[in-house]
Amino acid sequence: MQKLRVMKESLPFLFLCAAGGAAAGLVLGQMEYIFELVPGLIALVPAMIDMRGNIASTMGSRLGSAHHLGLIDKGWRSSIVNENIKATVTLSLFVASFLPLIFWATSLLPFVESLASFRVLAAIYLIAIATGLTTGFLLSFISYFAVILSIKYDLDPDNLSGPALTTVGDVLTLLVLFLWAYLIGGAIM
Amino acid sequence: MNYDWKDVFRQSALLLLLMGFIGIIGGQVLHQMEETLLQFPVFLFLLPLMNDLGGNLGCVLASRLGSGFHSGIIDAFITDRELNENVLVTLIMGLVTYLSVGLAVAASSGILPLGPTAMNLFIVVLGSGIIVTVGTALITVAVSLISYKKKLDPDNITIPVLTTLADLLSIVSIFFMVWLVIL
Repeated sequence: MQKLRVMKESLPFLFLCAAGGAAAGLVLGQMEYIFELVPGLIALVPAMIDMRGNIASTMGSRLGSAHHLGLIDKGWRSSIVNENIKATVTLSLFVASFLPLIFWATSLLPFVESLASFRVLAAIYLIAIATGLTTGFLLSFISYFAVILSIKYDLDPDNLSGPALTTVGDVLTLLVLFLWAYLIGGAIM
Repeated sequence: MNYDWKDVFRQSALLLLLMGFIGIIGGQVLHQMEETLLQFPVFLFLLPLMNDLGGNLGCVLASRLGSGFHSGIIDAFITDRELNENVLVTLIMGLVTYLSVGLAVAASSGILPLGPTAMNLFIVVLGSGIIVTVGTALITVAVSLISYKKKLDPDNITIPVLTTLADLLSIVSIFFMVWLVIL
């Protein structure tokens, strides 16, 4: 195995992702105020970020495989693209509606600081669902374009779309979560 | 190949919920350390960065192992030489990356009012970086070997499992290092 080659190809990319992570960190750093407004919301952040990455990058990898088999040549009109967008949006909404429940259930554990009020839970629930729906739509379009663009520039979508989507997904999810928490949190709390 | 959205949903939903559960546990750890985080927002800033790096290191290794197993270049045994070299490269890359991130964060604490001293920040980043790199490499090897032997598709299973576990590990290790060095 050529150790140097792996490092030469992967390291610049890792640094690029570190920059993306830093951008996500900047957004999260600005969310201090929101975390004080909606206590407990911070517990949803890792799970929300992961879900977005997992759902979008599996869509990217499915579209990549479909491209290699010549199945998405018709672009938007391909039924595979449509089914994948439906799957991504449904999964996002499904997971987003379960996360607050898991959060609530784990809050009942004895060593976890107990949760404040019904109002907080309602706010968290609405924020999670609104964020899931928004990012589900946005990221399924971004996945589609990431695959189409890498095909256009003769790159293998399998190599590019997955990592790109997880990083873009992180930043985007945090921004959308920030926006909804600001709007819903501001209205309810 | 025919993707029906209902099939995709059926195959992914349960795994995603399970990963969501692990993610929430990581979130609850964060929730417990919220006061420290709000006191030193620099750790809030570091969190996505450390999460991404851990996950990416693991994903690169997982993809390489997956391709290696399938093409027969790597034997799916823990003692295989090629497998160990791949792990070694991952450890070196992790060390280089976290070293650079640690230096960058420590250097920026000279310019920005971050709270903890440059030295403490550097130790926290590098220390949790080492824990995350070693932990992720071990988890990746274990998950890849198990999923290969169980004939599961790495695209759908290994990477979600890996990124989620790497995230949980980064949160816990940052918390641990902050507790060790600063509190």
